[in-house]
Amino acid sequence: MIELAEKALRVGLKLGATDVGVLVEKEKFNMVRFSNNEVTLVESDELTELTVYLSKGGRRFLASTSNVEAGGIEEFVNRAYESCLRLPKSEEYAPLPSGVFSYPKNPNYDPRIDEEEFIFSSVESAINSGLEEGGERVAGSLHTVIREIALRTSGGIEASDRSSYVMLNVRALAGEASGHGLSCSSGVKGFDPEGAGRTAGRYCRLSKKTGKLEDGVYNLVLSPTVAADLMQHVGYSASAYDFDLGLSFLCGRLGSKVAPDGFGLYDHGVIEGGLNSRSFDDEGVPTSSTPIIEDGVLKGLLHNSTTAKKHKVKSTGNAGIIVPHPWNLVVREGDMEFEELIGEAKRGLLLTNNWYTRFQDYREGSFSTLPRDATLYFEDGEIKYAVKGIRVSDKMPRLLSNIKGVGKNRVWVLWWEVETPVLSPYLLVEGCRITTV
Amino acid sequence: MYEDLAGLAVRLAGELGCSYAEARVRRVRSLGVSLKNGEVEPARVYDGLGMGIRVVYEGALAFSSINRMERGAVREAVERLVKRAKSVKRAKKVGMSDEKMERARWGAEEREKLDRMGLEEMLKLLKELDGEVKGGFAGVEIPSRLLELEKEVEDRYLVNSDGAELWGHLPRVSFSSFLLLKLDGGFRSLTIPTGYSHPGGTGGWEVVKGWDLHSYLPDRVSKVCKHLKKAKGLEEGVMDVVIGPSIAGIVAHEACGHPSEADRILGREAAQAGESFLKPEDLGSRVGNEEANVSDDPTLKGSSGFYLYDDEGVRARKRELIKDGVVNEFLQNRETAWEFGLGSNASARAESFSSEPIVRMANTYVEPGDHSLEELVEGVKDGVLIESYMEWNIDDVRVNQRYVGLECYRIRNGRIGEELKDVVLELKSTDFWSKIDARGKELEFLSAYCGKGDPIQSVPVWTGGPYLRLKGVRVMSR
Repeated sequence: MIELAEKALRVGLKLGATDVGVLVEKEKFNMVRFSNNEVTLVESDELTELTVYLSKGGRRFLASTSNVEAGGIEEFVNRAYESCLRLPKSEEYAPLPSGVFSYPKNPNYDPRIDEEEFIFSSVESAINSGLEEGGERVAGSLHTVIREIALRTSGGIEASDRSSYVMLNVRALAGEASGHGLSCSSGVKGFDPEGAGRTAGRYCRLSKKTGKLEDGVYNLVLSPTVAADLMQHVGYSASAYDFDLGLSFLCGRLGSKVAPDGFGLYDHGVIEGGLNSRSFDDEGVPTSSTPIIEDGVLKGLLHNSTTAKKHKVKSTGNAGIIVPHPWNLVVREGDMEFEELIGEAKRGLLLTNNWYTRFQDYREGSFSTLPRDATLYFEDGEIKYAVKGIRVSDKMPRLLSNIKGVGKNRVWVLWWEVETPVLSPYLLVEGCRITTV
Repeated sequence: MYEDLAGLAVRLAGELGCSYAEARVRRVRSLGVSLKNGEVEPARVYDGLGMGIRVVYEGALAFSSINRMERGAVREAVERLVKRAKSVKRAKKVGMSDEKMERARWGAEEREKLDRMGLEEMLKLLKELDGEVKGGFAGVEIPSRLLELEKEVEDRYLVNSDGAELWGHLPRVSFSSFLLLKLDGGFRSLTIPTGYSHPGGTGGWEVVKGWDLHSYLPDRVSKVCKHLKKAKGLEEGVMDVVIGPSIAGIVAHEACGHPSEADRILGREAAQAGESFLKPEDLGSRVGNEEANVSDDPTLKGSSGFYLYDDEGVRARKRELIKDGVVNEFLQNRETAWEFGLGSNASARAESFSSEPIVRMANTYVEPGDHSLEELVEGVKDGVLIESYMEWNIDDVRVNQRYVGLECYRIRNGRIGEELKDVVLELKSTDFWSKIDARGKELEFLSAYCGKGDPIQSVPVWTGGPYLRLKGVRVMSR
C-alpha cells in the first residue's frame, strides 16, 4: 500500500504540485445479517481506495478513486492536477504539515475477528440468548472490519496503521414489544454477543406491559446507546468547520459553561478499545486526545491545518482535509450506578434506544429524536411499564446543561445510528419535553 | 465495462453449484465544487469502479464486492462467497421470483454532456449565486453560506444467470445550499430548498439550466428572510391544515413508501431501518380515505430516482402503492416477491457496486387532485398553512411522524393571514391518510437521498406531491 501511495506522490510532485498527500485505505469487511432467527445475508468485501490531495499556489483539489490498478494511477493524478490548476487560489490555503512526527501506537488490531467460526458462532449465540430472554423473533447484524491505511505526503510523512473492530447489533421482538442490545469491541476480547442478545431479550420482555403517557416534561435516563447518539452530535458541532460556518449550537460558547461541573467529553485518536482509532490524521498529523468539554466548560474545537491556521492554533490531528471530525468520542466516567440514576430521577423514562435525530435549526440546536424499542416509565426507582409513540423534543444546549448524573460504567457504542464510536455511560437528564401521538 | 469479468463471475458461481448468480459492474465519475462564504473549497473528484457479485447457494444469499478488476480477484470472490454461504444454516430457503429477463441498453437523456461542463463553469455559477444572496434581504443578513454543485456520470453493466444483460447510463446533477441568517432575535440556520433537500435530477447540464437558479435561489431566500422576520409561534390546537408540496412529498416517502417496502414487511430490515405498520396480509386493506393516493414511479424522465431496469434486471414500471385509500401493492424485489408468491415490480436498487440490491423507492409522490391553492385555503375557516419544513422524523414502524414547519401562515375564514414559524405537525400515518380532505392539482418534486440497508445505502430519489388539505389535526409550536 505504501508503494501505491509513493507512486501517486511521485507523480504529483513531478507535475509541480506544492502539496501532495496520498492516503491509501484497504478494508476487509464481513457482515452476517439475520432476521426472524435466521441468517438473511452473508457479505464479504475487500476494497481499496486511494485519495490524493493536491495543491499548487493555493489551489486545492481532492481526488479519490477505487480504480486502483497501478497503471491507472499516473493518469488519475495527471487529470486531478490539470483540474487543480483550473481552480482559483484560496485564501484559506494552509500548507500540509511537514517534519518528523512521533505517532501514538495503535493497539486496536485483532485479525481473529475475521475467522468464520467466530463470526457464525457469535451470531448463533446472540439469536439464542435473545430468544431465551423473551424474544420471539431476533434480528440483527454482525460486522467485522479490518482496516489498513498508508499515508505519504510532500511534507516527508510516511506512515501506516491498522485497526479492527467487531460490532453486533441485535433486536429481540415479540408482538409489539422489542428490545435492543449491542456489543462492540476492537477485537475478540471483550466482545459479548450473548450479553447483547440477553439485553435485547430482557428489554423486549420488559416492554410487553404497556401503559399511557401524557405529553409533558420528564426526567430521562439515557442508555449508553442513546447518550452516544446525542454526544456524537456534540462532537460534530465541535468541528471547527461547522463552527466557522456558524452552523454549530456551540458557537459563541468557547470557554463558557455548557454542561455541569465534572462533565467531560473528549476526542481520542487512539485509545484502548477505540473502534475508529488512527495514529495519524489525513494530513499526517499525530492524532491526540482533545478535550471538547472539560469540567462542564467548552474547552476546544477539532482542527485540521486549514482551520487551525484560521484560529491561530495548532492542528488537533482531526483532518479530514476539508472537514475536521472526531475519531473516538469519550464521555468522562461518572460516579453513579444505574440504580442510583433511576432513583435520583424519581419519576421519568428510561430510553434504551433511539433513532432519527433531526434538527430544526443547527445553530440553535433544536432537535427531536425518536425512542425505539423499550421505553420504560419508572417511579421511585421502579420500572412500571413501557410506553409507545413518544418523541423527545428539545434543544441541545439545554439538554447538555441539564445533565444531572453520569453513570460509572461505560461501553463502546457504534451502530446504524451512531457513526462515530462513543465510549458512553448512562446519563440522567432532567426536564426534557416529551410529545406523544 | 468488464463484461468478460462479470460473465466469468456468473459462470463460476454456476459451476460451484449456485442456483442464481448476478454480477454488476459500476463506474461512477463525479465532480463536486463548493463555495464557502465566497471562498472556493477544495474541488472533489471521485472515480469509482468495481463489481458486486451476489449468489444464492442452497437457499442462502451471499454478496461480495471487489475493485481489483482481475480474473484472479473474481475467482477468489466467488469461491469466498460460496464458502460463506455453505456456513449458513437456514430452515427457510431464499429464492428469486421468475421474471422476464432482457438484453438492452438504457439510460437518461443527456442533451448537454456533463463531461463538457468544466469546473470553471460550475464555480462561476456558484459565485454568481453567492453574489445574489450574500447581501441579505429585508434587513436580514446572511453571514454564512455554503453552496454546492455536483455532477456525476454512472455507467452500469448487469448480467445474471437468468439471462439478463443490461447496460445503463445515468448522468446526474444536484445543487444544495446551507445558510445562516442573522435576524433581530439572533441566528437561524436552514437549507434552500428547506428540509435538507435539493434540486436534483438525471440528465445533462440542461437540467441545471432548467432550475433557473438565478431566479430560484434569491427568490426563495428573500421569501424566507421576509417571512422569518415577521413570523411568530402558534398556540397548540386542533384545526384544519394545508401543507405544501414539499411536505406532501416527504410524507409520501416516509409514511407510505417506506412502509410499503416488502423487505421491511417481512422483517428483513428489523434490526436497523426497522419494520412496517403494514403486514403481509394488509394488501387490499384500507389505510386512508378516498383522497389517499400515493404512487412510486422510477420511469419519470429527469427524476433523481430514474431507471428503466432495476438492479436485478427487471423492467421498471409505475407502482400504485395506495389507491383510493386502499393498499394496492408493496414495493418488491425478486427475493421478496418470491416469498410473497408474487412478481417483482422492479424495486431492487443498490447504492454502488459494493452494495447489496435491496427494496427501495424511486420517486414517491401523492397523486394530484383538482383544487387550486386558493380553493384549498377557501375551505378552511380556522387553520394553518405549513408551506415548508426543516425537521422531520418517523418511528421505525412508520407510524409516529413529525414535520416542523419553517414558513407557516394562519388561515382565517378562507384567507391567508399572519406569518407563523415552527408549527409542528405530529400524527400517526393512518390518521394522516384518513384526514386528507382535498388535493391540489399541481404536482411538485424535490430531490433527496434515502437511507436504508445495512451497511446504510443512500440512493437518490424524488419526493413529490401537491398542496394537501387535512381536516381537524393537532398542531403545536416548537
